[in-house]
Amino acid sequence: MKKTIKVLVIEDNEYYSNLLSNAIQQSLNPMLVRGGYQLVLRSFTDAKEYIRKIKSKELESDYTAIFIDYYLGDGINASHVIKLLREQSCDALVVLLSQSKTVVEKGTGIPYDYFVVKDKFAPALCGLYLQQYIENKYSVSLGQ
Amino acid sequence: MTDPAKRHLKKNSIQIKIGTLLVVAVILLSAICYLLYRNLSTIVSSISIDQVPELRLLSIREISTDIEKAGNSVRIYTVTKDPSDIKPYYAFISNIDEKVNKLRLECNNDSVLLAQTDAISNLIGENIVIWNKLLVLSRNNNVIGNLRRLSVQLDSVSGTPKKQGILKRVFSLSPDTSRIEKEIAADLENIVEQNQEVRDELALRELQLARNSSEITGKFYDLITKMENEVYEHIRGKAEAAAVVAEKTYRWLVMLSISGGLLALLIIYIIIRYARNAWAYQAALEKARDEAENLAKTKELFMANMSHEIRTPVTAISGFTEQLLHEQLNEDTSNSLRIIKSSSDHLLKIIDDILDFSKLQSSRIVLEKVHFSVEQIMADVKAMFESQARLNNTRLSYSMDPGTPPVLVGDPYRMKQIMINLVGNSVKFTKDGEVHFGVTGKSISPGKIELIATFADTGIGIDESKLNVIFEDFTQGEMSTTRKYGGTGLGLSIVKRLTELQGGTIDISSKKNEGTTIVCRIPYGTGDESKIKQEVSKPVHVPEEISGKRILVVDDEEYNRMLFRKILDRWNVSCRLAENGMEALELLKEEKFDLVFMDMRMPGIDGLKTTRFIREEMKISEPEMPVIFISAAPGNEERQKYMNSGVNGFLQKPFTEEMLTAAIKEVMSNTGTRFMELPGSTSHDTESEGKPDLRNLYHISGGDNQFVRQMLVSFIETTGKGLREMQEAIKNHQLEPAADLSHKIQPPCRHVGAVKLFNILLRIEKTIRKDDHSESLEKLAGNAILEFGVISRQINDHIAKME
Repeated sequence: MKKTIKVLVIEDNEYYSNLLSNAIQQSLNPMLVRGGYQLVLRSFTDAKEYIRKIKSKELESDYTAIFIDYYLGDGINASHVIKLLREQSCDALVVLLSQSKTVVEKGTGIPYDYFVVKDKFAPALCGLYLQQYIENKYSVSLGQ
Repeated sequence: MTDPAKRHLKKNSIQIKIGTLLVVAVILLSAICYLLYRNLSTIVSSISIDQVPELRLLSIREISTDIEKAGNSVRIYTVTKDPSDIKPYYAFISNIDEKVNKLRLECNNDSVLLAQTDAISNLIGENIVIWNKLLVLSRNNNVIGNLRRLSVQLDSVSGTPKKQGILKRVFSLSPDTSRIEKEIAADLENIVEQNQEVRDELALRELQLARNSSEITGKFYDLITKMENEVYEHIRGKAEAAAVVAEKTYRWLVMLSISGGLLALLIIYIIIRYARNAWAYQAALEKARDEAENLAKTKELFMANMSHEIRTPVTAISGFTEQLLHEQLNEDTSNSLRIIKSSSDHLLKIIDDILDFSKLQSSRIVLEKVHFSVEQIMADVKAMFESQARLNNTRLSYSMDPGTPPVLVGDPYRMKQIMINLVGNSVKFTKDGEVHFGVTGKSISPGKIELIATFADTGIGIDESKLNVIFEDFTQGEMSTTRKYGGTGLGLSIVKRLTELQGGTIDISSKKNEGTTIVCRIPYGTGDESKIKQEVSKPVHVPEEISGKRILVVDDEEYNRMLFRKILDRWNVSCRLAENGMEALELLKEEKFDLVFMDMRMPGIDGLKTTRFIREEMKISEPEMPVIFISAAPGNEERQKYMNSGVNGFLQKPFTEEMLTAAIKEVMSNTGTRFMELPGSTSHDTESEGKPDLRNLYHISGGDNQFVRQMLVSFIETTGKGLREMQEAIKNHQLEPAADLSHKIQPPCRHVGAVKLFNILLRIEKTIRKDDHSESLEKLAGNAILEFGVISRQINDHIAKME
């Protein structure tokens, strides 16, 4: 049976969300091409709606990795979502993205694995972190 | 009993069982064959006996035919009087006795049949008597003769033509012949009388013959019937006997077949059980082998990890001690530090031994093939052990045979390792004596020599009985040796393996308390002096170009980072330290560096991935910023892989200042780096204001233009919409949502290189969040819309071009 890598992207900007999804897909491509794994990518631009769905258990929370923007609009930030998911015993890799470092410098109060500044390298960095995480988790090598 | 012994016994018992059963099966099969043979031959012999009665019947038929023939022969003769007609009768008389005797012989066993045969024989005798009488009678029968004579007389009397019948002629006689008439009448009467007598006699005989014949026929039929009955009885008896034999055979066959079948089933069962056991054993063996292999791998990994773990702090101790020795210290402190240094170096040596040993065990050592000076190696080795030898009051010397080629081709490091081990041993075990090592080159073919390296000492020697085990792993001459002299006991084993790895041989001769001589013979190519890689000159010379440059050190070990800082500070080189790949990448985004030292093994993103990211995503070229890997010496294949990923040099842990400078110099010459002047800007961003920069988007797309197009369309839509909403919010004094909206559309602007727009949006957000009223939000929003117009036009042009 194929192992499923379930990735969640929450980013309120559609352009950036697409950019991230593309980078994630590309970083796992060598593994997906080789077979034995499948990628399920879920992306949401409306955090409010996502929180509602998660609370009502309309969605499952068994993600492998989560890429989440800190400021999600409507007064919602990543900590709301992450806390909610952690409550549902989600132990995914959490990559926090934000426009500037000030977010983490101030302290977010939420556990995350990586912080990525949303510069032009951000999508590639997200891909790199996911790749390394998957390599360690499944003891595979995605190096070329 | 131990398990293997049990298993052995079990195996034996199975062989015995199967052997015994097979023997029984063979015996059973032989028995079946013998029984079949015996019974079949009984049946066949009974068939051959049954042929005899048929022969007797043939004899009877023959005799019967003969009798008939004889009777006919007699009858014909009595009429014709032709002697040839009587021949078959005489033939019958001469043969009949013989035939009857034959029949009698054939009936030899049966008294009833014999009696019948005798009766037939008697009747045949009677027949012969009658036939003889008939013959006599026919000879005496003169009726015809008398009639002829009378006819002649009549002819002579009357002259009657011959053609008239005799009686006519008699009655046509003239009266003149009355006398004659009377005579004739008398004769006639006689004749008639005689004829009547003969006829009576003949009739009597014929009757007797007929009776005899009938009686003989009756007897024959009787005999035949009896014989047939007897044959029938005989056949029935045989058939019954055969049936009994066959039944017995069947019974035996069934019994033997059943037991044979059972035996076969038993054998099959035993074999299957044995095979299943064998499979189980095999599976267990395979499992054990896999486990052993895994264990070996785990052990190897553990060794490598442990060596790494131990090596790191020891390296730090050694490195920092070396740094401290550079400072002005009083003699006591200096001495103490030197002791710390030599001890830690010694500890490193032991770790290297263990690591080498584990590599040798798994045959993972890759041999180099370079030109080297063997004398240089010997000089180095001598220098290395000189002080220790002096302490032991031992004279240490080396020599090189004049005929030896000065430059060889091979692996100098392994040669040096062998020499270090052997000279080290000799020096360690020799007090107040002499240690000498030397080499001689013996030509074996053009361009190839055998290097004979001899290591002789006058030390404690090795007991002769221990010489054959001295090269085994973890072995020293005596257990006490380890306690007294220390060491891992791996040195000689490593030397032997290294020698053999290079295609050489090693010999040892030693006498207790007299000394030891070890001779290594290793083939090398002869080399060229100009191709020798020049080692870095001894006194550490900091390359001038380095000073004032910016170096990034990425290493998760704090000791290493501190050591780097200590050395680089002294060199007057500015350095930044990063604990891991992520930190390094973040630093690289903000600052420009001239050189990176990167640890290969790091938690999180490893050195290789970080380097790839630097080269492929951040587009920092190799000459612009070379990367030196800090790692254990990589194999050739790995080395190439790293080089292909953008690594430019290697620095082996633990390193000395000398190695550090060497690595820097090597990288500089390899990449052609002439460390450039620091540019004013510390950012790699080449984003030009006002014009979109789509390079990153194209890079991410991996050549998928459709994706780029979709992204650009999405950018214009979402950004346009976001800007309008933001403007609306500002107008309505909903400042918080306006800041959020501004924040939301910033990243895409930055990504497509719309720097001016990005900066305006940033100012809007900051103005709102910091409650700063120095700038008019409406004006800023208007500027943003205007700038977006410019950008979107350019992007639309680009999209149009794509189509």
